[in-house]
Amino acid sequence: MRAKQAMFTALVNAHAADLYRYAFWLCRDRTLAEDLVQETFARAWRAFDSLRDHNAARQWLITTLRREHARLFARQQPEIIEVDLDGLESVQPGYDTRVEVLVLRKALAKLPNEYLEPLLLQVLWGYSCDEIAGLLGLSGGAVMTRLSRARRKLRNLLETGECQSVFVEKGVQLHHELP
Amino acid sequence: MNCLDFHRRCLADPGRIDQDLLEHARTCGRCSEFFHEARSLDKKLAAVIRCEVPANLATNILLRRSPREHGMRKFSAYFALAATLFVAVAIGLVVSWVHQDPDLGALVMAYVESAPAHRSPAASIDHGVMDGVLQPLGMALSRDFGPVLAARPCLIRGNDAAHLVVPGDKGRVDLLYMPYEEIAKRTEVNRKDSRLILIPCPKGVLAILGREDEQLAAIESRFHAASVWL
Repeated sequence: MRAKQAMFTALVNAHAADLYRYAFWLCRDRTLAEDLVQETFARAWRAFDSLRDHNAARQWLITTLRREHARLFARQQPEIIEVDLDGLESVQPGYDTRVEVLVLRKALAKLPNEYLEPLLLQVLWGYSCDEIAGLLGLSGGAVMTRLSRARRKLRNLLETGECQSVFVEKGVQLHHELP
Repeated sequence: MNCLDFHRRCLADPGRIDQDLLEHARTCGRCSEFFHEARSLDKKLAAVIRCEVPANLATNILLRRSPREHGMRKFSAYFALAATLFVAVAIGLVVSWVHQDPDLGALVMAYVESAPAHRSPAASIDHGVMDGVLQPLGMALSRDFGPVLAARPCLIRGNDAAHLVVPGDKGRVDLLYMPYEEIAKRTEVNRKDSRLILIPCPKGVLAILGREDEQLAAIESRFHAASVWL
């Protein structure tokens, strides 16, 4: 029992944070995201005997969280409280272009989930297109297309539209010119 | 690789650089710039996506999954199971009580064992005696019913009833007609060496008690065929 508890603790410490981020960007709600992660690990505890392999465990957790998220939205349309994206702190040090971060957050929040999900999987865990395809039940080509479109949309959103207006309001220019 | 392919692959996964991409970037200035911009955007994207996590997230998860709570959950599960079983048994008992009325069956058996008619009647009685017992209770049996060895009025739960004894194939068979009792449906109660059938009637309940191997159904049929409700 103690060994199992120790292994489970290691699993939580290794994956809880990124799972939370994944959940947060899926539902854009902090409380819901935390609930989804809690429920995912609750299920992981119950199925822990079959989760010995670390890599398999991570995939299992992601799949379970996705399923829980889908179930939650199928059962009911939860009342989502608008997240204050401006107050959402990044934990990555050495990156202080705050307005740019704000614009990127808003651009991300505008991405449809079909584009956002593969992007999250790639950025958070470094999954390849084929691995993402396996997780999402898509073909490798479809994942590639979605990822390309996701980044293209982000660039477009940063260049034009509402997100650009944030720059104008703040009187800040993007550092780089996007083609 | 042309520029379109380069852009597509670059946008799909700028973190994965293979030889083809590098070769093209070396020869195409615009694509090289595009590549660096894509990498730059991804770096910023990673910073944004890696948002702040609640400080106590892991602790909360672990507290919820602690062995103690797990034990409590297990206990709760057992408790829920026990409660479910208890409710099921209770419902079963109530249903069984409603449908079988074991109290009435036990009462009938206890009465028959202690009744005066129990002491070995030998000869058939006159049907007029039987009429005298049954008619005050709102029924009569025609002569077709066959021989009756004894017929006496009695009290069941303080209410008037009639006790008949008829000959069976294996021995004596006792009939108790209880006009003030009620049961929902025909019920058989098997006891050691004996069998009891409780039959709902237009007015009250008929109990037929005999040996376990007695053809009680035949007597029941005779009763139904001969009964006249007054």
